[in-house]
Amino acid sequence: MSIRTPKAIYLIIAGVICACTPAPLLREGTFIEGINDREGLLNSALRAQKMSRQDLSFKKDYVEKDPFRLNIVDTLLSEPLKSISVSERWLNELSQLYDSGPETGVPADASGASLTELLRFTVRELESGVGESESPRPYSRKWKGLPTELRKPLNTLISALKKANLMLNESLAMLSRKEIEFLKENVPLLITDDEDELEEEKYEEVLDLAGKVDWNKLFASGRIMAAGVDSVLPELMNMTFERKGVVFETETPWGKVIVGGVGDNTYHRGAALIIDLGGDDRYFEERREGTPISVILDLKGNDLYHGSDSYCQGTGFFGVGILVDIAGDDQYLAKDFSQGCGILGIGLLLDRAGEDQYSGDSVLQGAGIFGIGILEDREGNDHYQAGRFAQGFGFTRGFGLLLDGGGTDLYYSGGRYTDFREKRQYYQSLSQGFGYGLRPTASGGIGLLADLKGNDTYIADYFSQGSSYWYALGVLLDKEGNDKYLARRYSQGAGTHLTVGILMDAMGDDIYRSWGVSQACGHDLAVGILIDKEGDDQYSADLLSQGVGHANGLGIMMDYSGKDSYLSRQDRILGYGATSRDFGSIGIFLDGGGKDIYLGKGKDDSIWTQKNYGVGIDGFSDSQ
Amino acid sequence: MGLATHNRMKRLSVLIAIACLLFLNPSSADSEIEDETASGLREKIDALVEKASSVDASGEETKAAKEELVALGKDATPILIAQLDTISVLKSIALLDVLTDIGEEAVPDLLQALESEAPRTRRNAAYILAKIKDERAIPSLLGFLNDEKAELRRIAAMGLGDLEYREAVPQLMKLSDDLDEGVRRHIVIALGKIEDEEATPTLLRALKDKYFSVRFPASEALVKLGSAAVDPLILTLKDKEFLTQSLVIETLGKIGDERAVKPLIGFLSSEDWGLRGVAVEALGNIGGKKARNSIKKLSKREKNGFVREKIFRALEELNSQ
Repeated sequence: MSIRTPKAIYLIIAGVICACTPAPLLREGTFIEGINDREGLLNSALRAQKMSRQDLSFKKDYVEKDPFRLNIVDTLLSEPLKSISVSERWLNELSQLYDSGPETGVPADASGASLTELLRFTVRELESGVGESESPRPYSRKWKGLPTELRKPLNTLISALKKANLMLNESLAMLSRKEIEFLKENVPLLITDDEDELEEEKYEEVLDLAGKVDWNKLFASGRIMAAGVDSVLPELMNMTFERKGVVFETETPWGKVIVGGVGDNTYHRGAALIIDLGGDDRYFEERREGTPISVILDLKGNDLYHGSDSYCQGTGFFGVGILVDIAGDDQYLAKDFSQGCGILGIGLLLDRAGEDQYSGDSVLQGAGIFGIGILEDREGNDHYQAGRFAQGFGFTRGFGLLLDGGGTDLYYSGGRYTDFREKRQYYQSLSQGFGYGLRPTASGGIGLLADLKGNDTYIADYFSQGSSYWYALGVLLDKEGNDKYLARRYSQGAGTHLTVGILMDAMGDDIYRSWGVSQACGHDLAVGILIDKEGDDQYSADLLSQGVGHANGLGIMMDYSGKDSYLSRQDRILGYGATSRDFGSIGIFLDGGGKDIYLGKGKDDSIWTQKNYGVGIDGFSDSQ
Repeated sequence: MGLATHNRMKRLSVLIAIACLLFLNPSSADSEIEDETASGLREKIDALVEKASSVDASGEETKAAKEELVALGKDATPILIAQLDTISVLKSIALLDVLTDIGEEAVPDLLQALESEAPRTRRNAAYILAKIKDERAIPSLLGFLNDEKAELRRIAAMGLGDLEYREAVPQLMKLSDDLDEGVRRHIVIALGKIEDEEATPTLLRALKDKYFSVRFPASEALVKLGSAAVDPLILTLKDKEFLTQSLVIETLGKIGDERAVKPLIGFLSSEDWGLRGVAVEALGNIGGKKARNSIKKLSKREKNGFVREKIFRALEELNSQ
C-alpha cells in the first residue's frame, strides 16, 4: 500500500526550501529597468561603478606635449565617448561622398568620392586649417603632335602641375637642400628602423626639421593636383580613341609628359604625367629625382603596376603622387612606401572598378607619414596584402586612409616580421586602421580603414583593426555585410599608451576572434572601443578583452542588438578594470538586447560587477 | 753630416726623450692604463645597457644584462646616470631598473644629477631616488613639491609617500588642491601610505574630486585610517552628490565598523538603485544580525538587477559566516 502524502505538505516543504534558499532565485530574470537604450546602459554601467562620464576623461598633460600632437587625439582622450560620434560621422560622411558621387558629370555607374573630397576630408581631420585652394589658371599651349581632343585636359593637368610644384617648393622653403636630403634619407628610418641605424641625435634632428615644413602649403599642393585630376577625369572617360602605342611625349619643366594609346603599353620609368587611354598596360615605375609630383591616369584595361623599387603607385615622397585607374582587374605590386602613401607629401591611389590585388611590404595601401596617403577602391572583390604599417596607417602628423566602396574584400597584414613577444609564431601588423606615434618624442597620426559594403575578411596579428599606439587614433569602420575579424593582440578597438583605438561595425552578422588585449581594451591610460550596431555576432577572446581597462586605461564594448555569443576562457574579460599605479582602470561591457549566449563569464539579461572597476550589463531582451 | 743623417739623429733624440719621459714618469703610464680601463668599462657598460634595453621575448637576456650592470655597482653609476637624458623608452626603463637596484650606492651621484640642466635627467634621477627610498633624498623631494613642473611634484609626493615620511604631511596636505590631477592623486596615495589621522579632512575632501583616480585612492587611504575615520565619514554621508555618497558608503563598508550600520540601513530605502546597491554591499561587508536582516528584508521587494546581484552576493557571504 502506498502512502499518499497530502499536496499541502509538498507545498509547505517547497515553501520552506524556497524561503531557506532565496539567493539563487534573486538572480533569475534580473534586468535593469529602462536601460535598454545605449545611453541608459552606459549611464547605468557608470553608476554601478560609482562614476560619472567625467571619470572617463584622460588628462592631456600626463607627458609634455610635443609639436606633432593632433587636436583630435587630445579631444578624444579628453572625451573618449566622442570617439563613437566621430566614427559615426566619418562613416556617414564617407558613405555620402561615395553615394553622391563626384560633383562633375561622371557616368552614373562610377559613383565614389573624388580625390579632392577625400583629401579635403583627411586634411580637415588633421586640423591643418587649409583653406580652399585656387583653381589653377588655364594653360593654353597648343602641343605639337597632341590629338586635339586631349589638348584641353592636358593643359589643365599641366597648369595644375606647375602650380602644385610652386606650392610644394614653398612648403619646403624653410629647409635647405641639405636638410631636405637629410630628411629624405632619415624619415623612412623613423618607422622601419629595425636595426637601430638612426642614432638618438639624428632622431631628434629629423623631428626638428620635419617641424619646419609648412603643412598648409604641402596639403594645398596635393589639393591643387587632385582638383586638376578630378576636373579632367569625366572628359577623359567619355573620350573615344583608337590610336595605339605612345601617341605623344614631351619634356616639361616639371618632368616628362606621356600619352599612351589604346594598345598594351609598357612604361619603364616614372614621369610627371602619364595618360593611358586603354589596353592592358604594364608600369615599371621608379621614383625620379627632380619629379616630385607625378600623376598616372589609366582609363581602361587589366593593368600591372610593378614597383621593383619603393615610392611608387600613388606615392608622394616630399611631393605629390597620384595614380587613377578607371577600369579593369588590376594588380599592384610594390615594396615599401607605395600604393597611396604620403611621406612628407600627398599620395593618392584611386581604383574605380574591377577585382584588384594590392601587394607589398611596409608602409602602403593608405599610409600617411608627415602627410596624407589615400587608397580608394570603389568596387570589386579586392585583395589587400601587406607586411606591416598598411591599410589605413597614420604615423606622426599623418593621415592614412583606405576606403573600399564595395565587394567581398580580403585584408591581410602580417606574415613577415615576427613580434618579439611571440617570436616565430605571430607577426607585427600595425595595420587596418592603425595610428602610430614615436613614444615618447612624437605623437602619432590617424589611421582609418573604412569599408562600406560586402562580406569582408580582416586578418592580422599584432596591433590592428582599429588600434593605435602613443597619442594617435586608429579606426576601422565597416558599414555593411557579414564580416570576419581575426587578430592576435592589441587589436579590434584597442589603444596602447595614451591613445585611442576604435572598431565600429554597423551591420551584419559578424565574427570577431582575437587572443588578448583586444575587442575594446585600453592599455596604459589609453582608450579602446568596439561598437557593433546590428546583427547576430560571435565574439571570442581569452585575455583582457571585451570591455577592459588595463594599466589605468578605458575599454568600452557595446553590442547594440542581435543574438550574440561570447566565448572566453579567462576571467579578466567582459567588463574588467585592473588596478595599477595605486588606482584603477575602467572596463565597461554592454550588450543592448537579444537572446545572448555566454560561454565563460557573463550572463544574458543581467548585470555584473567585477572588483577593481569593471562592469558588464546585458540588457533586457524585450523584443527578441 | 748630410741633411738626411741630421734628420735621422733628430728623430732618434726625440724618441729617446719620449722614452726617458715615460720611464721617469710612471704615473703617466698608469693614467693611460687607467684611461684604457675606464674606456673599457664604458664600452662594457654601453654594451650591457644596449642589451638591457633590447626587446627580448623571454626577458632572460635583458634580465642578465641588468643583473650584470647592478653587480658593477657604483663603478657603473656615473656612466649610467650620464645616459638618463635618453629619449628611448626601453633604455630609460632599463636605466631606471638598474639604478634603482644598485640602490644606496647610487644615491650620491643621483643627488648630484638632480642639479642637471637636462630635464629628463633630473626627472629620472628624482624618480629613481623616490624608488630607492633612501632618506638622503628627502630634502630634494620636499623641494620638488614646489617645483613648477607637475611631473616633479608627482614624483616628490610619490617618493615621500614611499618613505612614509610623516613630517611631510602638512606640506602634502597643502598641495591637495593642486591643479594637476596626477599631483592630487599622488598626494592622496602618499597620505594613505603614511596613515596620519591629521590628513582625514584632506582625504574626505578628496572624495569629492572630479576624477575617480583621486577619489578612489582617497577612499583606500581612509580605509587604512580605520575606525578613526568612521565618524567624519558618517557626517559626510549628508553630502547629496551621488559620487561622494556612494564612495563614502563603500568606504564605511570596507572599514567594517558597526557604528556605520544604522546610517547605512537608511540607504536601503533610497530611491536611487545605485545607492541601495552599494549600501547592501557595505552592510554585507560589515556583517552582523542587523545588517543581515535588513538585507533579507530588502530582498523581498527589490526588483533592480544591480541591487539584486549585490543582495545575492551579500547574503551568500553572510550565510557562509
